Amino acid sequence: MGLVSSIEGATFPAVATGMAAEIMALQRQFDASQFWPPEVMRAAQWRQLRLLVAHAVRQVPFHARRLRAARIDPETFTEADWRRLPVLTRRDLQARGDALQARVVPKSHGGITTSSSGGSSGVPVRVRKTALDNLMWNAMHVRDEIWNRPDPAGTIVRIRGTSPVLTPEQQALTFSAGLCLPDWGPPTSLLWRTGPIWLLNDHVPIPQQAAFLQEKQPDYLFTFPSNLRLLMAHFRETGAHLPLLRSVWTLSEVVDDTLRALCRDIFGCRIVHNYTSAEAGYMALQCPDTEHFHVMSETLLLEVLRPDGTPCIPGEIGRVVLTPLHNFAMPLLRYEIGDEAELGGPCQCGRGLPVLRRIVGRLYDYLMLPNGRKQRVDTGFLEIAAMPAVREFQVVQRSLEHGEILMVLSRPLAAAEKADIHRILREKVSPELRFDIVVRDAIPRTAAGKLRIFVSDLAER
Amino acid sequence: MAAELMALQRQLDASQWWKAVDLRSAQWQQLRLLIAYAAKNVPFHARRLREAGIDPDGPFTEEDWLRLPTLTRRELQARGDGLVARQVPKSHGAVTVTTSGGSSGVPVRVRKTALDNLMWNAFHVREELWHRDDPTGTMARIRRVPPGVTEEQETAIKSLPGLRVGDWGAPTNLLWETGEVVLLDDRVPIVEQAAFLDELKPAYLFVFPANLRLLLSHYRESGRSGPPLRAVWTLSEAVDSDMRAACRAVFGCRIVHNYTSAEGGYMALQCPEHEEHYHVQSEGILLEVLDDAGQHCAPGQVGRVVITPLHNFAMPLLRYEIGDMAELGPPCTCGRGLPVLRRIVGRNFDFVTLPDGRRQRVDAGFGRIGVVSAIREFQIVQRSLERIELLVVLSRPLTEAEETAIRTELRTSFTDVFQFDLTPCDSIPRTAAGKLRIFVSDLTTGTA
Repeated sequence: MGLVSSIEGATFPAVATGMAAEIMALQRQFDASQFWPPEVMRAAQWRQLRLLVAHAVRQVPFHARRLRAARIDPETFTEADWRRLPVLTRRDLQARGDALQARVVPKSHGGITTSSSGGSSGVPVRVRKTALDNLMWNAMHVRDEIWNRPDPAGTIVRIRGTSPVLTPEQQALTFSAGLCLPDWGPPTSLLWRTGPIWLLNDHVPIPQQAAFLQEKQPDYLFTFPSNLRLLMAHFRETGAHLPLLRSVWTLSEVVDDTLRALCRDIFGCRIVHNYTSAEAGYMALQCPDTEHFHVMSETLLLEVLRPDGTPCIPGEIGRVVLTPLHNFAMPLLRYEIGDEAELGGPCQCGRGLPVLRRIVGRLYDYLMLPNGRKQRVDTGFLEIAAMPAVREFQVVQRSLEHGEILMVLSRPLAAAEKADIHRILREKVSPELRFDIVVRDAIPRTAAGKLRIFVSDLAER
Repeated sequence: MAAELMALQRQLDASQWWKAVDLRSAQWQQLRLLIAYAAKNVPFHARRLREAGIDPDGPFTEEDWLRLPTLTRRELQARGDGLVARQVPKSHGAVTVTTSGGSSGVPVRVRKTALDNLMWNAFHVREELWHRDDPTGTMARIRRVPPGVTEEQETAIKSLPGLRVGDWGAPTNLLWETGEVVLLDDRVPIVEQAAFLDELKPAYLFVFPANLRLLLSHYRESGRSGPPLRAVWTLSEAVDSDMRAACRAVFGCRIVHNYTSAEGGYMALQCPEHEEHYHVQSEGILLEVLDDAGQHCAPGQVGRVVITPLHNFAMPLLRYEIGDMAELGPPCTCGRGLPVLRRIVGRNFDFVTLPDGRRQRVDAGFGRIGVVSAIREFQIVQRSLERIELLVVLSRPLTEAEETAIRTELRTSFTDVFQFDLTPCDSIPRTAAGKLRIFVSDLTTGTA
């Protein structure tokens, strides 16, 4: 194993110091806790939650008031009590940001930083976090490596937006020949002797991205699902291969069964996806043995709630409500992040960590029906992506009766294909709307570079 | 330090299960780094490696390695400074000097770094993990007064009820909220030690085997059990199966023993599943067991222990003959790939001199003598070429049958050429470090 040692002349065992040692020390606890029975994990989470709540009561008057109003005693509260606490919406967080900051943060939690979360929701929020949160982020990142990339070596090609921390010259390279960095960067490079990473901007045209991949022949590709979809369409058309590719790592947006199947078919490997946010860090990781997502219960209390606020049972889709357990700088108690997820049953891998079968999408991905009712958009319509001529697409609701499917195509659609698309939209989106197929050269992305598969002109922004 | 220890532990969690061949290859990688360093920074090693035909910067084989002469305690004592590296990598931390046991008669001084100390602590933590699922509860420590205590504390340690200390100390207290430890000097009379244990009812007892033997005799003679303990942890000296059985009878628990030294740190830990197997700590040390011809022993054979601590760059010890004998064991049924020592037989300077001048190694298998219920403790002393004396501390006079059994045991161990005398006495002196040596000889030096 290519473990990094901080000590000259000592490679076995590798001696980690500083942040690397802290991450691996945490990892050793995670090795065990991932297999704890749910009730054991629950008890450990609850101990941590009580500490967080006690801190929030002392240091955040906003929380003190709400907890008191919900008759929650920080020392004795039960699960039933906890459910009385009203959820905190993104809008609350946006409006009350400053009121949620703790007056005092324990010194040992380290320096405080602020991060902003995605404009893609239409409700950008700013969250304060500590070095401890950063450590937990890195620890879960490393867990993702351990679970899904047991041998973190080889070459990665990363096709995403260009990081502003690069020099202007480096930034320019990511738009042309690609920028090569000697290792994968922290935290992975703190622990393993990784291979190099090539960075390319995702605005580079797809044929050029594909040529780049063929030249570099990477072991891993890291990109947005929407960009992957375009790349796979291109490889399907040209019949080219990436024989060394071991897996494709994706972030953000939605990964569905169609995309996974396409990836296995075209690249001969699996997709590794995860569920993260600026507000709560790593919320769930893909199971190494299945394609489920495991909630990171060591750092997060994640609830999936029905419309009436009661907890979902496996198989039900509900609102995701989070309590990051280590953010003492800006405690978020029952924060409704704006996603929906389907709760799963116990995983066959034997891990006790709760299972999300799928992260369904954002709450604002709602269709407005002619009678004024809102209906969640079923991602089942993504099967349109499996059609060979389709590079990418987006469904847009224009009015109560009318929608469009914007499509980027490699060739004109046959009549039968058009009929298929209309059938899928009828079955999976709604029979009550009339859809037009609109061919485009490209589909715009959000500021963060994400492709939203459904947008509505009627949704409140 | 806590994070570093747990980060190391995560590797040790995995490497203990590696196949022997994989462990060997990882060790060998580390050994090459040590050797390259030693050749550059210790002229003594550079010369010896050259003479053995080992290229410190190139590949070398097991056979090449066997050609490198071992380094004895006497050489280490004589050449001490000649083995010190001209410089030490900064990242290895501060250099300290430790002195190893006068009990061998050949005290040696070894230089080590903070890295060695980290490894020591890492194996200490592994021992906790292997043997103590629950590092809580009270520990009774009946040993010499530890260094660094105040005068008042020392007084407290030397009498009942002992000195109560907040926790078990580093490295355990860095990682767990341990219970308390209560210290008592092992020179307090055994009756009082037993009263101390009865009153305290500790979870664990930490003691020398010789002292444990006295305690076990005491309880056996008084016809009652001791307080139920979770385990008795012992260090140094030898632990045999009779003592393990007696411990189970008296305290209802097992003994946890290990094999450590100032020179090589933790060399072997008792297997968590197989109490008479000691697993070599291959992640920290290359340990060889050699026969008289200098070849590697096969399982079942007893041979000289030769160690190469893999992380000591301040004073590299390449093939250091520590002076112990051990029996190599077969692969352990627990599944760990770490090599097995079936028993650590004793120091190889424990030689009896025969009337014709030949020296014969003493096999410390005197368990049978300790089993005699009247015997609290004993020591065998060679007084001359013809006479061996058995010093015994007795709880009551021996019966005729017991005395016969003891004489038979002595004749079996030492052959018939000696005259054997049994001498009852009140106590048997310990070494400066508090150890009871089972065999000493007036004819050889080093009878500390």
